[in-house]
Amino acid sequence: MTRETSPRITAHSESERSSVLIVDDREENRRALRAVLDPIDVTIVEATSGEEALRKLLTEDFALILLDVDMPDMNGFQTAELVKRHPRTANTPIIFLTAYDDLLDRADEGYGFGAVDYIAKPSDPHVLRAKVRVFLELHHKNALLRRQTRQLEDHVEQLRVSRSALADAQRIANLGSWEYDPTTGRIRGSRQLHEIFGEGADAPLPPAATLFRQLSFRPNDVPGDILMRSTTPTNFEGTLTRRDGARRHVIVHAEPKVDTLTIIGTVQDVTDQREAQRALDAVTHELERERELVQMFQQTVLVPSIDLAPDVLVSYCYRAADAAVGGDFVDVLTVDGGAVLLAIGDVAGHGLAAASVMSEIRTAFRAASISLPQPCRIVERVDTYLAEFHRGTYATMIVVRFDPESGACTMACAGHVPPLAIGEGHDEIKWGLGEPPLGVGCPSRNETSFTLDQGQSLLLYTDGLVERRDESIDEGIDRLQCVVAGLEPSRPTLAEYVVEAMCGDSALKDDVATLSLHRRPHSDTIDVSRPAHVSELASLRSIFRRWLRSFASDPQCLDDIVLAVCELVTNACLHAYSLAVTGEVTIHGEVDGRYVTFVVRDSGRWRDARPRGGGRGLKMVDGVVEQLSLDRSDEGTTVTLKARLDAPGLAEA
Amino acid sequence: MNEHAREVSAAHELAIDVEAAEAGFVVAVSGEIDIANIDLFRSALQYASGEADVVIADLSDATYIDSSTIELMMVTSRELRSKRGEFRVVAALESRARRVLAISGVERELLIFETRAGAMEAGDPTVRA
Repeated sequence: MTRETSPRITAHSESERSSVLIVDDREENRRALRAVLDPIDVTIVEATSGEEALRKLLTEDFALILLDVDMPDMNGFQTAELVKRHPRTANTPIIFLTAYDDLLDRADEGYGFGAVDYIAKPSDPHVLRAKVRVFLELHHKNALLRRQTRQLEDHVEQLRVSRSALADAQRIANLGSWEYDPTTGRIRGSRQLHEIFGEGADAPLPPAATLFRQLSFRPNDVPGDILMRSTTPTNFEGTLTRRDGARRHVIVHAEPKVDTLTIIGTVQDVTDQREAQRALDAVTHELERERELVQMFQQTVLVPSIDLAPDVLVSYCYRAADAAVGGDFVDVLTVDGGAVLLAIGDVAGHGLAAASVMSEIRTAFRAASISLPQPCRIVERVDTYLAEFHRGTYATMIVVRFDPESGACTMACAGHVPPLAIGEGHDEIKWGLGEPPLGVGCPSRNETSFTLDQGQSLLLYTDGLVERRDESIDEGIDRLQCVVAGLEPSRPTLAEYVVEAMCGDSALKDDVATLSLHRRPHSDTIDVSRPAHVSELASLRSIFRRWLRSFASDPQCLDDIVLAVCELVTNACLHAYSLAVTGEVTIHGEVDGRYVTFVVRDSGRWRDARPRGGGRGLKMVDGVVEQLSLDRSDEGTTVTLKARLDAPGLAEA
Repeated sequence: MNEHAREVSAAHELAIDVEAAEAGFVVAVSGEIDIANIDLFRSALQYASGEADVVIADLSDATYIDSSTIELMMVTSRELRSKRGEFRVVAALESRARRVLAISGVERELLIFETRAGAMEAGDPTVRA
């Protein structure tokens, strides 16, 4: 789950440290909270009463308020009501702290006062820390998004100014004409030509050679007197360096006039246009960059990795609409015991506002999933959050909890388009039709259950995928069903493929997100590749346990093998990479009859004299396996173990 | 909502409780210990060793322990012995921790008890000596 070790949740920005306000009248409670929050890089501000809290809220910004419910004078609910009433603090999330026994009675009351969460006292430090981290992340992301929105607005304004400057510049055609007589060497020019060259309107022009030498043309700085030798119509672009020192950007045309044996031409001063154009280009470029940033922002909130487990393949795809980013999001979390939480959602509207709400919903989803394993409870919590903080904003969402061991799925749906199962003979998914969207504050939601068999896939998507100008959503869903009907469920990039097939290269009017989960059939081999970091051990254990369970029926035998493999992985993490940057460790497992073989490979070199612990680990491994071999080379270290399974493998089954 | 909270944190998450008892300090472990979170166990043992001569590590609810856990307990045991204290481990015969103790071959080097009550009744090492 998103515990302290989770790399996906970083609590704060590098530049600004967030603050958390602890409001509790009792010193020992505040001390306990301080101790719990100590590992988090956050400034803690304390208040001993509701009044003091309100004073502090007026002068400081807080990412989160931890508010004790039972306080003398002004209790937590009364304090919260005042906090919510003030526009400056109305959006600051509040976690109420209350005695365990009162929790259920008071929960509803508190949500009415704008609580985002409840924590029972004494609180579980892990849960409290994890929740605080989630809200700090939200605070940080929102600040970032606000900054980007401001910049974007500035740039849009600049763009408007530049565009109108360019239009003005183009309206004023600063064009002068001239006629040069080679026989006399004299030149006549229009009034505008005089102006362009910075000569008085009535003063005679200098001789052509002098005048033209003020010009130099691209490329290679061709001297301007080339004009005097023009034999065919020619265009030049270059610089005019006037006698007063001013430099202008000009386009010059010259052509011989046969009847008069003169050369005529024009000089156009395009300095202003070019500058306006350059400014426009710069602003457009900035704007593009901003768009990319926002897109990146959208991307960073998407699932970073699809390598959940060897038997669970997740893929996702997000495509921004043509005009603006939107409010679609997907998220995937693994929770304790190896279950997978999938979420997909769509915030109504477009642009940064929708993207911002989207990121908050995702954070609320993560916060809720820390303590609530049931999808309907998570959706209820997110619903409350949206209704409280973004009244009038609506969103749709689906949360699915998938158990990789059994394939059981539990799903809660809030007004979202129905998911699809892909593959032979799948369950019909009865989605919560008629379930209201998020933002209405629906007090209780329903769940549906279905099973994803081995080899089947589940596809979640947002309505952008099935919406087209020329057809209804139902027609779009029918079209989608045709697309997935013949599809191989194990296709690794299923989510992307579906978007390609449905939308092609056409410009999208709405953003599109797809998320697919494939339950791989059980296999007698397993391959896992992970960063060689000890934080991976917990999830590797659950992966190996799950895989071995169908081969080893004796729990002790299974646990011993898991222990042995994890000792090898631990060694790879500790010894092979003690000095270098984190590398990869790859684990290959294979069942053959009554035996299982594991090969653990890393790309580092083990030190010969291993510190304490490592030797003990290997000795332990040696004690539970039949064969153990270690091969060190310049490329890395490979350790192979062969252990007995007491249950027959697939081959004999 | 509370039963859900418990369900989530029950299975694998490491939780450590330190409790003062008459016989000494009890450090109770539930969940999984590995090299990634061993520091929690280490600081609990250090704290307990500083407060009492007898430290009891109750591994009854430990669902996973590894070689680093064994190593830490061996060190703790040595340190306590050097100051005439005693380190006791609660790990019933059928428990996962006991199995790992057996695999590591340290069963004879540590004082292992079937139950916490048994470990508490074992008496004061200084008196016994």
